[in-house]
Amino acid sequence: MKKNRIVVLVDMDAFFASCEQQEKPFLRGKPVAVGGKNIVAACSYEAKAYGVKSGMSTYKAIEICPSLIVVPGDMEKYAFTSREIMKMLPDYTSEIEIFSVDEAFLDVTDTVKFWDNNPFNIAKDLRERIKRRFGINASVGISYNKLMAKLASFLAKPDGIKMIKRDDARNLLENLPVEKLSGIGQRLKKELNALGIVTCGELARFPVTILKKLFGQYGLLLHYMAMGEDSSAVKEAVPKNRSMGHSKTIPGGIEDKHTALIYLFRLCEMVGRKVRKSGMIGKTVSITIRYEDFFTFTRQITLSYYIESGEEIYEIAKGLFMQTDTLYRIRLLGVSLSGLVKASRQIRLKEDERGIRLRRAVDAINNRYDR
Amino acid sequence: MRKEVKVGVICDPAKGITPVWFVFMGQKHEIKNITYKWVVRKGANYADHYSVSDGKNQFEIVYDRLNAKWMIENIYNGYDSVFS
Repeated sequence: MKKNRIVVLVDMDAFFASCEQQEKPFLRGKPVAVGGKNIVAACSYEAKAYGVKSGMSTYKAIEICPSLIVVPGDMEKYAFTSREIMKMLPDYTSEIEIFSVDEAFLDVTDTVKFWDNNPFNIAKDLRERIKRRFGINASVGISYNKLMAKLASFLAKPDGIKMIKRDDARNLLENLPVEKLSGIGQRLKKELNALGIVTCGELARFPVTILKKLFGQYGLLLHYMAMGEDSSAVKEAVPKNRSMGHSKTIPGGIEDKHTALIYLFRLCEMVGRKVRKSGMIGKTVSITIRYEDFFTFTRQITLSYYIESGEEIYEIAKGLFMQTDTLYRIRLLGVSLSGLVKASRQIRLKEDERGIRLRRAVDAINNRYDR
Repeated sequence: MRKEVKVGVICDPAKGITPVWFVFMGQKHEIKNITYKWVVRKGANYADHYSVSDGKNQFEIVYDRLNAKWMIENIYNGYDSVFS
C-alpha cells in the first residue's frame, strides 16, 4: 500500500439528464426527468430542487413538480458519452477504476508531480475537458482514499471540486450523518439509528466488539469507515466471467407465462451468443424473476454436461420458469449461464459438430445485422 | 420514424465529418449549432447521431455509415418529438 495516497473521484452531475439537456438546449434550466411512464431513472438539478429523486414513480414526480418534463432515456447515447469521457482518464494516470457509468476513481499519487504537485490542477483540467467536449458538469472529490474521495465529490456537488485532507477528516466526520458514507444505505442507516448511532463520530466511538457481533466482519469495516479509513486500492475491475447473463426490465410488467417465455427465449439467445463469442461453455443455468413489488428470486440448475446454445439454455430456463408460480406481474426477467470453462475439443458438448458450425454461422449473421 | 434527407457536410481529416446544412421537405436549413454527437452501433454498422439546431428548431439527423445515407430521426417542436 502506498503512503500518502492521492485519490480523485470524478462524478458527472445528473449525468443522464445533463446529456439530454446538452443535446436539446430547450431543456436547459428546466426540471427534467429521464425515464418512462413508471419510474424516474434520473433527474436534473432543477427537478431535484422540487424533491424529485431517482427511483421515484413518474406519477409522484409529476405530482410534486407539475412543470417536470419527462424524456425517454437513450442508453446508447449515455454509454457513448461515458466511454468517451472514460477514454480521457488515462491521460492523468494508469490507475483507474471505473466505478459506474458516470463515476471513476483515479489514483494520481505517482502522477501528480506532473501537475505541479497539485491535484486541483488535474481536477480542473479534467472538468474543463468534459465541459468543452460534452457541455456536462462534473464534480471532483480529492482525498487520501476512495471512501473520502467519494465523500468529497458528494460535498463538491454540483459542479465543484472538494479536497478532504487527512487532518480535516475527523472534524468533518464527527457530525456527518452515517448515510452520507458510501456503502451505508437506508436499511443499514435504520439499523445503526436503532442503536443510537446517527453520526460517523458516534459510529467511530461505538464498541467494535458489538459492531462485529451484529454485522460480522462488516462491523469492523464500519468502524474504520467512520474514522475515514479505507485501504481498498484503485484497480481496474477485471471481469472474472464466472457467469454471463442478460436481464430485461419489462415496461409495465407482464402477467401471462406465454409472453414471459418469449422474453425468456430472447434472453437465452443473447446469453448463448455472449458465451460463444467469448469462447466459453457452461453448465449452470439460472433464471431471475422480479415481481412488480420488487420481490426478486433466482432458480438454478447444474447440468452434467456443458452447453453453449441459446436453445439449450432456453430448454433448461423454461423448465425452471414453469416450476415457479407467477402470481404477480413480472417486472424483470434474467438468465445467466455459469460454471464457465474455455470451450475446447476435449470437453464434449451435448450438441454435435454440425450443430455447432450452424450456430457459429448464425452468430456471424447476427453480429453483422443485430445489436 | 426516419426520413431520408440531403445533407451538406465538411469532411475534415482531423475532425471527421461535420454537417453544415440539410434539405428537408424542400427547405434548406443551415446548421447553426451542433449541440450533441454520439455514435450507435448496430451489428457491423455504425450510425452517427447529430443533434443540430437551425436557430429556430432542434433536429436529430443520423448518418448511416454502411448505406452512406442521411436521415432525419427527430424534429423537436417545443418539448415533444414530432416523430415519436
